[in-house]
Amino acid sequence: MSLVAEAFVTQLAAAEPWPENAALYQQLKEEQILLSDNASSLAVQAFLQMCNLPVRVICRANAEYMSPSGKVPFIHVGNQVVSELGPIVQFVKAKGHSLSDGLDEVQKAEMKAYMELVNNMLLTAELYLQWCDDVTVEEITHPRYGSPYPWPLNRILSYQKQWEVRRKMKAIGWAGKTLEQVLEDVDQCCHALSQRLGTQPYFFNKHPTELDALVFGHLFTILTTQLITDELSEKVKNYSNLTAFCRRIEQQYFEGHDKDSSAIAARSSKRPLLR
Amino acid sequence: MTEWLCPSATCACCRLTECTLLSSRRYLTRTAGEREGDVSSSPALAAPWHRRVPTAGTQSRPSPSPSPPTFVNLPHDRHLQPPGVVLLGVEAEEGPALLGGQAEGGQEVHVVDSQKLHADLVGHAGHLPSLAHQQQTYARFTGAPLKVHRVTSPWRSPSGHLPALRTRDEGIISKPQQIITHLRKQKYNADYDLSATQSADTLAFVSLLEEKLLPVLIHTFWVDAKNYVEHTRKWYAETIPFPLNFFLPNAMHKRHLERLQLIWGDDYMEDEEKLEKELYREARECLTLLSQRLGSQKFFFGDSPASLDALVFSRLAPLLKAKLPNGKLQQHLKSLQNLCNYCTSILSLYFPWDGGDPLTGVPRAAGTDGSEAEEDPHKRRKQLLSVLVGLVAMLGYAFLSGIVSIQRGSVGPAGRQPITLEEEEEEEEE
Repeated sequence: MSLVAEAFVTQLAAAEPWPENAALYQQLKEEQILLSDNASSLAVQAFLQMCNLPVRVICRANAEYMSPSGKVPFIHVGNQVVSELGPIVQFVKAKGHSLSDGLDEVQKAEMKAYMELVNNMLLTAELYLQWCDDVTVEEITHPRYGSPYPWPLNRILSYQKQWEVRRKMKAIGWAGKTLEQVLEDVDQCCHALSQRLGTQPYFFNKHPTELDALVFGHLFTILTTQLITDELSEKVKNYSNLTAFCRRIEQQYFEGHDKDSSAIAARSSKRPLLR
Repeated sequence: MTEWLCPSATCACCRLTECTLLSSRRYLTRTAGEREGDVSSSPALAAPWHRRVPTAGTQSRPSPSPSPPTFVNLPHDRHLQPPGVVLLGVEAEEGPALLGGQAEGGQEVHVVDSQKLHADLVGHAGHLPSLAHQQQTYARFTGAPLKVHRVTSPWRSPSGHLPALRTRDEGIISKPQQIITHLRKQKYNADYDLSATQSADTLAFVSLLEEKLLPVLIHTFWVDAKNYVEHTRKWYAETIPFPLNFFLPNAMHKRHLERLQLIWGDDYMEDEEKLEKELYREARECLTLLSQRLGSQKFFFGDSPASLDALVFSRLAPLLKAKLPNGKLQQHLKSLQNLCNYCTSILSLYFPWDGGDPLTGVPRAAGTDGSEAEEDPHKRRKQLLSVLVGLVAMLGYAFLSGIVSIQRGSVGPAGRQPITLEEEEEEEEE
């Protein structure tokens, strides 16, 4: 889109208030969605909840293909479609809602840096686990990813996606890592987040920001998803302030919202919510 | 500030300028504190090749002049990182000897076991002109006794890749992050003083740089058509020896292009405008964020440099100094005054002799036979090669055009026509 067109669209976006029928699209919750996509989707839901913007969660098997950037989740607001947390935050800001206005410049820099940290380490670790770890791939990912489709399409799509993700891992240098190293990185990342959070309720003291939403999305999903082994969730459980943080956000923003309670249910097993 | 004299015979800074490397006492105390068993009240027990020169004590060496280090100002058209890696540092064998020799000074000095780190850092301006820089910068911040070999082709590196660290105990380490981890294990830790929050911030900013800035830097230097052709490729082709200079830059270009394609996806690579707008905007934002975080401090975390400073410096310095025809990102960086000052101050403090022509300056300054020998075979080889090629060309032309012909095993020179004719007559007669 050219600069002028984008400015025009932003104007349009700003002009309209948030509609009642805004929708968030993701893959099928029970059968199809994977760890990383669930985390991203939960992060966006948490963010919109924090902004007090109502949104319906709609599950579609082809959500990934509907999305303008190929990544889930994406939101459909009015006549605009925006995908991924970053652009959604900007879009919401254009509509006049923002969580990070009260931060000063240095804090904004730190917030962006920490969001990149989560994306760089946690998200990549999740992708690694679900696409590069052979056991997990065979037993969880392949069956889930292609589940809405008949054979042989399900296998073809899974292999295609796996090949794509593995190439990307090679490009960023993660292909050579072992599972232990990846878990080590997750631990480092959680340690950094835990240090930064300290004893505060949110990362930037009194009010939640998009960083809180993102961290919540990822950590909550890791904690409540049952995989082959519990190693990943054990790494997060080591940090009590992070689990308390997740519980707090869950209680504040998700409990009591019936339509969203299913978004929090465990993905591959009906595990109760965080203990 | 305590002034420190670098006693190393091979250290370029002393050779060149008799300069003193100024470091803060706090930094030295910190590195001293890390060595188990070496801790003592005197801060003199720091990095093995940095010794304290007591102002009023007896010294076996002449006391240093208190003048600030003299260094050549970086002319702006010099590339920052020479495409080879500089040999500097102390041979492990020399270290203890030097320290022992100066032990008569008023201070009691432990001979630190620098044998552990007989490390050679081998690298050249590999993927970006800065990869070797990061490890080098880190090593300089911590005062690790590192000997840096300048090589201009990856074939000369012990592991086949650059940069590579050759250590006495653990063989050859090739991954950049592992090199820094190894240095840390050897107790050369620039992050020793950081609080927990600061360490967490380091991790976060490293991620920010790697995600937002690094791909765009790679694009600026290697993929952007104008920059690549006019600057990067020319630079590499000039310094990498024949025959590698024909295909190595191209291979690196292809590799980077592929990597960016995988990271960014195809629609960014195809749509130049979109890429320009969004990704460069994010990179500019990243630079602005760095600038805001740095503020008016000297380093990111107070008064002494940490590993984040090494990384930021190694990424920003080439961008600042290179002469890029298509330099939008560069212009943005130059508009952030505090980052520019930050880079130049680190340059002047820790790389004071890189101002001159890197290739000729360093062999003179480093003074190690190794690096001089490395330069000479190149020159000699090139001369030999050119003479050989010339000879072959001339002889070939001579033979082909019939000026010179071999008949009956004897080669007749061009001028001796009668003899040739006679021989031909003889042939005809026969």
